[in-house]
Parts: sequence; C-alpha cells; structure tokens
Amino acid sequence: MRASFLLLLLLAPAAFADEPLSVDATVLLFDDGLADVAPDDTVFPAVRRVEALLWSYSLSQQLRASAAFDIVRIAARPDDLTELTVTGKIAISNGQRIAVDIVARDSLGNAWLSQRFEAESGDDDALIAEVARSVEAEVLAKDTATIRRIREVALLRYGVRLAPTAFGDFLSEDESGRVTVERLPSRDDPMVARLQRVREATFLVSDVIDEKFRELGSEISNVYRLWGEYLAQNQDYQQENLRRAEASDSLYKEGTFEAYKRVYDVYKWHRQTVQEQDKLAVAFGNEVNPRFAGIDERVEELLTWMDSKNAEWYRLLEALFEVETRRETL
Amino acid sequence: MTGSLSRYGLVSALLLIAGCASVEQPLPVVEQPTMAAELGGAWERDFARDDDVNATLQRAYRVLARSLSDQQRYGGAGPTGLPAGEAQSLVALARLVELITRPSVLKITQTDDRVLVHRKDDFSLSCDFSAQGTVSERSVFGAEYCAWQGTDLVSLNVLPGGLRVEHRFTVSDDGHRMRVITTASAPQSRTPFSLRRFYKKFEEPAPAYDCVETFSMKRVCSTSELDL
Repeated sequence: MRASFLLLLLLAPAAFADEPLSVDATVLLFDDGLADVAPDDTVFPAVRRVEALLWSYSLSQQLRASAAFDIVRIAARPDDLTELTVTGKIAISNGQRIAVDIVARDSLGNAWLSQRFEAESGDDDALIAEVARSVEAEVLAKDTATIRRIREVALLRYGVRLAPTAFGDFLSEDESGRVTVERLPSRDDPMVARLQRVREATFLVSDVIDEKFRELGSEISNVYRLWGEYLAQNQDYQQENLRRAEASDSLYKEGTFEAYKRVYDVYKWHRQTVQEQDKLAVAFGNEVNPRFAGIDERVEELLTWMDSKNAEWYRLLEALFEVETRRETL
Repeated sequence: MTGSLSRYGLVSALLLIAGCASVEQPLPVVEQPTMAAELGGAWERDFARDDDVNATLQRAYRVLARSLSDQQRYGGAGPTGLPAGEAQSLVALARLVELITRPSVLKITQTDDRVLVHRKDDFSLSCDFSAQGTVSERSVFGAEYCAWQGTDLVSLNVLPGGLRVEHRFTVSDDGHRMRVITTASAPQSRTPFSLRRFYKKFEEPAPAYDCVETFSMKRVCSTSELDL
C-alpha cells in the first residue's frame, strides 16, 4: 500500500455509528507449555504444538458461535487492538489428563477469568466447550457501560501506539498494566475517525492471519483425531500388558523356561508398545511440522508487513495531528 | 583379533558372573564424557564363530557341579550331582538366552548421546546417555540400565522376580566385527548363563526412493524431494 493511498484513506470522511454491545475477542495461540515439561515426561513436541493450535482454533470457533462476541480471531501475538484477549497455556497433556490455564483479559487490563480447566485425555472438545462457556458467561455478566468502555479503550490504546501525541493524554497505565481513562475524545474528533479507518485496514491483515490458522487447524484436525484414536488403543494395550504382568506370577512354576519367558515377554510387549508410540510420534511430526513451517513463514511475513505499515501510519497520523493543531492555534 | 576377543570374553564372562551376585544392583555409573566406541551400522551374524548352546550349557553344568561338590566336600558331605531345581533353572536360562539372541541381523543407530539396538521380533535396546545416571527406562514391567565399561557398551534389563538379562557389546579395533555376550541370571539358579554371538558389519544398499514415515499416510516415498 503506497503512502499517498494511506493519506487518502485517513482524510476521507467517516461515520461514527453506535457500536453493537458485543465484544471483539482475540484468542492467542495457546502456549504449548513445552518449556515447563520435565525431562522425564513423555511429551511429544509436535503433538503439543498441534494441540496448542487446535484448542485455540476450537475455542475461537465456539466463541464465534456466541452472540456475546462480534468478531473472534486467532492471533500469534498480543496486540493493542483487542477488546478481550484470551490466552491459554497447556499445563498437562500426558496421554491420561489434559489441563489448560486460561486467562481472559479486557483492554483495561482487568482479568475477567483466570482458571485451570482439566479433563481426561480425549475429552478435549468438552474441555474447550467448558472454557468457551466460562468466557462467554463473563462477557454476559458485564453491564452495557463496561462493554462500551472496553471497546472505547481498545480503540484509544491503539491510538496511543499509533499517534501518541494525539491520544497519549486519554489513557494512563499503571505498573501492573491496568489502564485508566483520563478523558475521552469528542465523538466527531477527526483523529478518531482516521484511527478507526486505520484499524479496519489492520484488521484485514489480522483476518488473513486468522484465516491461515483456521485453514491449518482444519487441515491437521484429522491427523490429530487419528492420533487420539491411536492413543486410546495404545492405552488398551498397556492395560493388557499390566494385566498380563499381574497374572504372570501364578501361571508357571518358578525357575522354568516358561516362567522366565513369560516375564521377558511381558517386558518386551511393554517396550514394543512404548517404542511404537515413539516411532509414531516422529511420524506425526514428519507430517505436521512442514505445514507449521509453511504457516510460520507466512505469518511472519504478514506481521513484518504490518509492523512496517504501522510505522507508516504512525508517521502520517502524527503529521496530520500536527498540521491540524497548528491550524487551530493560528 | 579372534584370540584376544575370546580371552577377553572369558574374563568378561567371569566378571559378569561375579557382578550378578546381587539382583537389585544396577550397573555402576562410569563417567564417560563421549561415546566410548562406534557401534552404529548394520551387523549380520557370523554363525561360524558363535558359541554352541549345548556345549556352553555343558560347561556351565560342570562349573556348577564342581562348585556344589566343593561346597558339599567342605561341608562334610559327598558329591551327589546337581539338584533337579538348579539343573532345570540353568537349562531354562540357556533356552531364554538362545531365544533372545536368535536375530541374525542387528541394526544399531548411534548419536552423540543415544544408542539404539534394533532387533527383529524384539524390543530395541535403548541407551540414553543424555541424563545423569545409567537408567534408560523404568516401569512396573522392569528396568533398563546402560553404561560404558571401558569401550564395552553394557545394557542390562532387570525384570520382576529377579530375572536379569545383560548384553555386552564389544567392537573390534578395526570396527568391522562385534561380539555380543548375552547373560541371563535369576535367583533360582546360582549360575548365570552366558552366550557369545559374533557379528560382521555390512553396508545396507542405498534406498532407491526418498521415503518418510508419516502418521496418517504411513510411509510416503518419492523419487524426487518429498513435499508433504
């Protein structure tokens, strides 16, 4: 996009319509939690990464279906545009249990929800549905004034980043990230209208990134479903191995070949089950990692492009504000 | 080379017998900053050099009988032959070792901190040296220990009931031959049973296709670079 076009966009008239009282939410890609995994834990990085994407994707889909939300996007990094940001971190996913730590924070910096959700492995759909219901309940519990305020603050926060000279006085932020509204711009402030237009343009990029993640989520959900079926079957095998181990003592006379072979075989079956799982986890990574690499590259390109555009918006908005305030002073 | 391997094998087997006295004693931790030998590659059995199971069993019998005889003599009683339980247990261990050492090919992958010995119809012996200590795997089904002892790689499986299976891998100086001594011991037998298997390194033919294992599509192969 060329600078002249950006300038035209900023100078065009804008209507300042009343906004509907639902919120826009951004679901940040879940933290896969791999940094906190103990070396002895059996955790497969590729599987965790897929879980982080799919659970973010699933949560965003469920929030989209709720009337409490206007637009819900998946994003790779936090931004100043968002009215409500939902972050998640996978705390446990070990084949037996899953747990995610969820925080939903509004544009004022208030945490609406900070909670761990847990379920048995394989019940991830139910777990994410519970997260979605909890986030939705928090939105529905807020009064109209609160919703309107977080919408206004989200726009002003974006303004502070892009045109600090024009918007810097409207908000203050304490050390903990809590935002206080010092004053509000008038409804016909031309800078606000420009800011809204710039935000719409930025949202287009956010939508492209969101779409990329959705495509990937849709692509790999089938592989992950197969993995879940395999894990369930694998657990059955291990239960069977345990049953065999417990039954071994009474089957054969001590010191016989049959008794030794039985003990050895039970260990062998257990190790083969574990090693097959390791092998399939590598195969899982071989299948999904190239897809992640592809999207990582594309998202990085888009974010870099957006950063460069933001720098350009910053320069233009600051220049326009200076021109207008100088004209008013004269 | 053969002679030195055999002599070393005898000493090693005796040390193994001594080392197996305590059932719960894992392998000693030997500080080994790097891999002490290169085992990686494909190895095929050299059947001509292998121990004969029956001859080895007879030798073990004689050793055990002599040991019992000495005990009885010093205890004041005359020799009466092997007790039935001892004999049965020794034969059982010999059959187990023979079964375990049956694969004619071993494929070993070795990295900076890991050795994996792939065996047909059996689990892969796994030696992970990335963590401190010698335990590679432990569960209710048993434990797997690994250590370098000199330039020998020793893998020990300690199984429920005190059954222990140890593999000692020794590679010749030129890296083309390998000897594996497999020893089984159990509380029911005062004598462990050891068997030597010999291997020659061979080059596997290069694959004609570029293949990758995937989860949902199994093995995917192509004559050109794969694009998943």
